Amino acid sequence: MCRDCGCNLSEHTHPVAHTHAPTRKIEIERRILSANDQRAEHNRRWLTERGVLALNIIASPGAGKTTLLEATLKSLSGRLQCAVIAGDQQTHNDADRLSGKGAPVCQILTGNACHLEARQIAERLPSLVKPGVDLLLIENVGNLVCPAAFDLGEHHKIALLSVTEGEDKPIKYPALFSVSSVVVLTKIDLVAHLTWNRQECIRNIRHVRADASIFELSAKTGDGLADWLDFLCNAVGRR
Amino acid sequence: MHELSIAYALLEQMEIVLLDHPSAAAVSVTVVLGAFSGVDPQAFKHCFEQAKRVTRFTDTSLFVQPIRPQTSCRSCLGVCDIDGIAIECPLCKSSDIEMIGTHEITLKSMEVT
Repeated sequence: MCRDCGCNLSEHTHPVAHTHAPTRKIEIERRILSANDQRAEHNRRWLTERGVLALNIIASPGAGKTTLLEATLKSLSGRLQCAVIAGDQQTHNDADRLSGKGAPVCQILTGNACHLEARQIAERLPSLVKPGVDLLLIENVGNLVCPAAFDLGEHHKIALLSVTEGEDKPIKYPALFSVSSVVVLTKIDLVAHLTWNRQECIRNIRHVRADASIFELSAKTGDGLADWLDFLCNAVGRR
Repeated sequence: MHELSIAYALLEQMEIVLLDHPSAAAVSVTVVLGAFSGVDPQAFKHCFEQAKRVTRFTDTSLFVQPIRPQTSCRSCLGVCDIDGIAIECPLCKSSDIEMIGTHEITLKSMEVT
């Protein structure tokens, strides 16, 4: 494109009062986030070599990520050794909530950024994931869009969807739900107070990710938690 | 606003491309965005304009090419344009499909002098 007159020709003859050098096109076809992808692949290899399963947990703010992690750490105590990375724009509240439950916890503050990146995970792995750790739980920044684009080196992306968010989030936000191999429906203890339609919600998940594993649970009451814990233990055991 | 992170990543990739073309100056760069990329083209352009100010790409124009999602059917081998998401092949109704043109965030080409 001619940057002086704005036409699409590199070399042209129409009368324009300027001169410019001819241009050429370089075909590239490369993922813009390839540098992040490479760091993520390094993380995945590092974790895999140590037999650690890593999960990248993504959801809206308030969907129940931290509450699920609290219940998970408490229930897995003695069964699996976990480590946790919690991402938020501000505060150490999540790390405070998750500390003292048998797993080392690291809080990453992203400032104004709406997602975690592979570089931030790489910087924490050596100090956080010591020998004996089986499961790394990464709680991403609360957001249904941005974190989906950034591979952290996880083995699974886990999307959480609380029943209070309605049934149609999977088809409204396919960027996340189409890349999540596991979807956890949270806060099912509240279903009796809502008009939430379970079949429609599951149909919407299947619409964007036909092979997703779906769990339905309440971290508050413990309903459905056993299946989620079995999934984690089996996934770690397969490594 | 992950568009800003992606704009910085794009500028980083452009620098890498020009390592092989040391005498070239970038006139324009073309980026392809899939329908489910989660990247808003207008926000991305705005972020690129801001991010390039402190680089050597201050005069480089950004062109964004949104791509339409398609179904690729393993049963009838048909490829169809679709408007959003699909669970079956529009031609033969098979559910054995792959969606393409969805998550791309790709540096397609650069025009250089």
